Amino acid sequence: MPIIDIVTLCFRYPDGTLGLDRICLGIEKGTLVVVTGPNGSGKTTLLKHLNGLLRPQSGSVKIDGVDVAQDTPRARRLVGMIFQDADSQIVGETVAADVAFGPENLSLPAAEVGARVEAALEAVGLTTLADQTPQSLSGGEKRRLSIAGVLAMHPQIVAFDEPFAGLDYPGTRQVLREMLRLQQAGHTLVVATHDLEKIIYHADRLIVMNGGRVVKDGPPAGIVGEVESFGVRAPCVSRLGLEAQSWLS
Amino acid sequence: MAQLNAFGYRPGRSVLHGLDVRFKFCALFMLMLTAMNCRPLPLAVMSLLAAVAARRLGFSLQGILAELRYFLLLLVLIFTARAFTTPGTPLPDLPWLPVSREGMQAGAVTVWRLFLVVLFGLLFVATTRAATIKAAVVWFLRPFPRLPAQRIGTMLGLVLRFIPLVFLQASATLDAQRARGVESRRNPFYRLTCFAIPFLRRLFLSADRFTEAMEARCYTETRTELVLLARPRDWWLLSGVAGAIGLLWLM
Repeated sequence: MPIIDIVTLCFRYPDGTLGLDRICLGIEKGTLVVVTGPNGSGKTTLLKHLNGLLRPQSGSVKIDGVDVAQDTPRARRLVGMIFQDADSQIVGETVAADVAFGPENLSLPAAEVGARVEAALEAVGLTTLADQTPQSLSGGEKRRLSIAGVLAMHPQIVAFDEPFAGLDYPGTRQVLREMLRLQQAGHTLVVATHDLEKIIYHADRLIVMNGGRVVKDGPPAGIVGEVESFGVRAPCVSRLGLEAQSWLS
Repeated sequence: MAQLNAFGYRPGRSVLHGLDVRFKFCALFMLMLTAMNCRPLPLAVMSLLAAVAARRLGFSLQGILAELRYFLLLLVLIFTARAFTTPGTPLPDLPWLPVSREGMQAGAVTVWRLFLVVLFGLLFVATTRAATIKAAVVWFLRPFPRLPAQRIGTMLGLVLRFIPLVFLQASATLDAQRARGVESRRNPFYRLTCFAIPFLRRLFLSADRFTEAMEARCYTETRTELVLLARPRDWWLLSGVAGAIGLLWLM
């Protein structure tokens, strides 16, 4: 059974704009799935349905067999969401306080919260910055802080919305490294991005969206050459007819 | 990297950082009341102590004045109003100016008091995490059964958390407008409109994103609360401040 099971999901924004149109997807546990498409294609709207930030107008989203609409708190525990704008998801005044925000919302005992914060900061290499204000961090560090904040809630799935936006080369590598570490630890990753260059080498599956619909879905090697017809720039190596390379190599 | 401003929490390990927030609240309340009512000599002593504490926490006078520039304008207005409206002896060197010596003295003391109160507030905010302020508010409101203590505490915590971000956004919007030559426009209403619309739009968008991020991380009012612990040094602080204030009243 797929860990994410989406059946004929439709969503329209209050102003009438079509967000998602009959999306059907099953995502297997432990995979790294890249969702791509031009601006307004429905990538972020799709991610927001995974943990109930948006509710389907028809169709359903099931996480590990349970409908998100029926048990939204469970879905939010299981699906960690890393937003595009790292600043807007920083809630704490210090790095450690921000990571503690999620576990505190789960009403865990204080000692358990402390242990989770410590483990999450260690996992993303921010232990030494625990007492710093998040505003003083670099872009890459803020993104890693967002990851730590989600990791401390022990999710099974981590959804990334444009994880490389605004990051320099070292920042991109830091975040990419964290993503791969998460996958190796058994997490399922759903990455929405139009910047395929940086992630495609590591993707198990590529989903192309356009106008709220899934227009291509399959192994990256098979469809990456066709993405330009949907308004997404293909990776350079693919344009040159070369094999994809990791940004970490 | 985002610039820090004076209105946010500054991580540190100073004595002020380590004190129980409930005792700090009480001490702050007593100090503010005293600052608003005492004579100039005790005011000078309190100002000196506040200045030393600010210096130890890494504040610079220029930094504080720059951050409080709009508040300083208000202080100038208050001083002017007092100087012009308080009856008394005209200034001997400027007899044509309709201000009185007593009015200027009263204005200066009022401005001094207000500045000191703000400085105390600044020191409190700089050394106290919003989460602990929220916990203290909940603790203080708990005896009142009809008040939603958790919600009030959360709202206060979010306001405190948001103040530095509001200033950062205002500064970014102003920079963007300066870069497009807004300073060449003399009409203040035009400039205000140009500033307010993008600033407010951005602010509301940020608030939306912030709420979404809190929801995504399972925000609830029944979350794990911070445990506030009073230690002997907190009692010493409170007694010390109360004693010092008593002495200041005798001065």
